[in-house]
Amino acid sequence: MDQAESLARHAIRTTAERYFFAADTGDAELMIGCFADEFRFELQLDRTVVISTPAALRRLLDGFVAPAASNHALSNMLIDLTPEGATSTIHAVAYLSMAETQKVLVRGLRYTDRWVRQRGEWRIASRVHQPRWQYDAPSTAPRVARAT
Amino acid sequence: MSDALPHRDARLSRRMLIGGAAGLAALPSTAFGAAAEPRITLPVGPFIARALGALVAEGSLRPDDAVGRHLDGIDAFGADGRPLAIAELDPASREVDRFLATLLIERISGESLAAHLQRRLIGPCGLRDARLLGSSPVVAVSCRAGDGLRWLQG
Repeated sequence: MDQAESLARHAIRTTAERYFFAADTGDAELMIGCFADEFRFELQLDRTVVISTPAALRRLLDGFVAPAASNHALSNMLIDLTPEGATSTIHAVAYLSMAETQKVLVRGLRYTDRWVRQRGEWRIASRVHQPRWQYDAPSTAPRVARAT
Repeated sequence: MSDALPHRDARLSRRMLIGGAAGLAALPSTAFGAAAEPRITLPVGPFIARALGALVAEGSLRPDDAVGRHLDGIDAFGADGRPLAIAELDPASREVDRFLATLLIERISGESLAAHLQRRLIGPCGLRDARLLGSSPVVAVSCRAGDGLRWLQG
């Protein structure tokens, strides 16, 4: 792996992590900055919803009941650099603390992405968000273990 | 009017909306002043469904139109991969459909969902002292119990 390829892989991974940070902080503008100028974001929910503009992405983030808190953990990521850009597959786990049920929804996710380089950054040109498994767990108040 | 909930720290317990075939649960009767008439909290889904149905009935939307035809930057597809038609939306029970129906209502009416529900449903249907709970998104309607039960039966 040469230095250029290594830098590209690092930059792609950085944007992938920035997306999850934006999801967990509810930062719509930060999330929009992860996508290319022209993008396609497909969410495979009980309907398939396809988002293709920043305004629509903002509306999507406002349109659902947000968890009281969340944590998206990137588990693994396979990146393939191509002549046109890059493709990747991400496996992640989302922990969503839902106020209305007082449960934590734990969801396994797969993201299938296509990346392009724009203005010096790697951005998502196409993303398919696919929940693959999930379960609910009881939520308890955070506690810190007493030092012994 | 709409009561805004903190976006990521919703202190209103939405557990009130969970359970029961109609998604109906009682609030404490003294929660809203001295009137002491019992109140109930109704999930917003049926209100959105009725508002969308009204727009279809008056011809502002066609039931066989694809949802995405009316929305900028958003398309929707069913499990078979075909574009989702307006008639297929089920805002009363699917969260994704509530989202899509909300966008359609706001696009066609030119109003926020809260303003549209207030003008077209809440007032005309005789839901006295009704309050919309939540803003992004609206999640429920709180109203006098008797009014709410009549609305559900209507």
